[in-house]
Amino acid sequence: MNTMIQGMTGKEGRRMAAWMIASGTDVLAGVTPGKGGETIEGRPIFNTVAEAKHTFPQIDTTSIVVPPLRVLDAVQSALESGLKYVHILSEGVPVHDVIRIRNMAKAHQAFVLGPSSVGMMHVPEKWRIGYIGGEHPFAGAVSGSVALVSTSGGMTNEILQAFFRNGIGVSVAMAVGGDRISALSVEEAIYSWMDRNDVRVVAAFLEPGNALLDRLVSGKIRFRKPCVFLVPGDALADLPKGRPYGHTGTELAETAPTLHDMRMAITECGYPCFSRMEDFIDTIKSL
Amino acid sequence: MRLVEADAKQILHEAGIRIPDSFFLDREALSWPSDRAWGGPVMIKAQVREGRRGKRGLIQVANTSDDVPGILHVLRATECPGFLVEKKMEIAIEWLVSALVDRSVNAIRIHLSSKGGAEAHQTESYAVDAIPVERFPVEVVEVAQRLGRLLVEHDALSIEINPLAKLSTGEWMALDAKIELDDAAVSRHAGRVIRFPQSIDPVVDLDGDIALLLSGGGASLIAIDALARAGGRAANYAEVSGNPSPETVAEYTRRVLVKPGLRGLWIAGSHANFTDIEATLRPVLETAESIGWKKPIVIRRDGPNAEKAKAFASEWSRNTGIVLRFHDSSVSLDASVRELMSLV
Repeated sequence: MNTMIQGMTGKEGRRMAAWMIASGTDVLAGVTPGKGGETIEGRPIFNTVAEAKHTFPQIDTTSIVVPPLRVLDAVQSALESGLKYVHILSEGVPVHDVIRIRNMAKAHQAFVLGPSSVGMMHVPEKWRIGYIGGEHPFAGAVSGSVALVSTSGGMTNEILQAFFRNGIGVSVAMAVGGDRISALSVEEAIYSWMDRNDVRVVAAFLEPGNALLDRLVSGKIRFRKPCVFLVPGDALADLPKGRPYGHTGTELAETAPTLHDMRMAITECGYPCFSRMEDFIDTIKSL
Repeated sequence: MRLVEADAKQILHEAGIRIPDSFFLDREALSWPSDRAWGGPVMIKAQVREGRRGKRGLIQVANTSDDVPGILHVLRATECPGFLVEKKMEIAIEWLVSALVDRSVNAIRIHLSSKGGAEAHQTESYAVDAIPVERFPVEVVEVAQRLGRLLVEHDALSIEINPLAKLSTGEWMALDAKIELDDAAVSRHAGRVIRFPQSIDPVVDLDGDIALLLSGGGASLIAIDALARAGGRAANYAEVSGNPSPETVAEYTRRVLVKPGLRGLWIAGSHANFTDIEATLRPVLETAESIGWKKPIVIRRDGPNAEKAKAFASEWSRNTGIVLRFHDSSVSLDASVRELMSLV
């Protein structure tokens, strides 16, 4: 995985570069318009993605840490230069820009993760994009065949650490971000894992308001591998409606069926769905 | 940002969609303005952001100007910037027409229903350029397509007209409007005038007595569930993640801790990826000390610099005499809050 970081000269970009390099990811270059010629963490900075790609044609991946209103342009530059894997850390990207990014990804047949994503990691292959897993993602990591997807960056790490403490081995872990619309949805992530030999069980963390919940209840979903869901938020029922909590994608409609009922319906469709971490972990351990 | 009806209708009006003649009355108004002629029955509508105003009695009809003071008196009990006063129209049929960013298909969709009004629910959903035009009145299709364009132009999440009414005169008119704008894009529309902008308070006041400072959108939900399971009642909801500035953290802490009657503070979050646990904890404890906080504090945090955070918290507790426990992520959120409840 040969990567660049767009926005590498900023505070978060510099830290992400240092952490990714330290955990063994090949960060070859950075891009910040106007800062071409500088060096960060021993890597050259270029003014454009095209220039970076010209010097390092092997780069196929980028992590984007630019201000939210510049993300759309950054993604476009990356895709037009032929990069196939785009990770967006930036938060606060306008929803209509994310819709445009989804369309661009499809047109370029590229994989785009985020926005508001802490990244993605593969335990057996020992690579990590972004911050996922913290400063030392592979310390204490247990290799295995459980794939984890989460809308929450913090919960991705919380669940990973709980898995490792319980001896549950992980192959791939991915944070899709908690925005209202994501470039890659939880549903799309899970479907992409159905044909992979290194994924036997899927574990997913979702928040209320996620579109997948309604689709699971409807019975229209057919995941061919065991999927276990953690969906907290019963106490949200007591909070004022009509505003998001935590993430912009977490909002209860003014008339929503209770989460408890939704979880029961989802479990009855064959996908165990829990509100408590302990039950979620125990079930995955048993599979 | 959810707009009040008056702001939403202004956007529709500027886009060429017909709305009733109207004017705005401040909440303090006591009667019909003396400088306005009475022109017949009017609707007086409280400008609240939540729906179902009709059912909640927040839309009233004044048949004569004598009715107005009594209506204003009743409506004034509701928190809102004021009232939209509109000419009452004679309605023949009511449609629901909306454009929205539809999360179930990750795209823009138009929703249409010929049964508009208060009881509207079943809608048909189409992509903007795939509305089967032969099935709907041409005026409905035109408005629907215009809303689809407006949604993109204004970076809106949803624009709903319910009802889009055909009047007894044959004209079509938007009698109510709801617009939700994407907060992330507001700075792209600096020239747009929103008379009553909405700011979402990051701290939500609740009835309980356990103060919360939560981190992580997902973990905050697990945390409030865990508190409820442990028999505790939240005094507030407050969530901040990433690496907020010490000033921001101090401000949140102040707001959360000044509430009277609190029995304890739970500082809780997930095992962070990149939040500096020590840098984000320090301003909380320093602020708590500066405002004279004396109740037990339980911290459940892990991630970068968590060891330093624990050392700092332990020393702080020794110096201030305040009961404090520090849990890393080997202690579940449920176990952590149970310990807090045993201390308070």
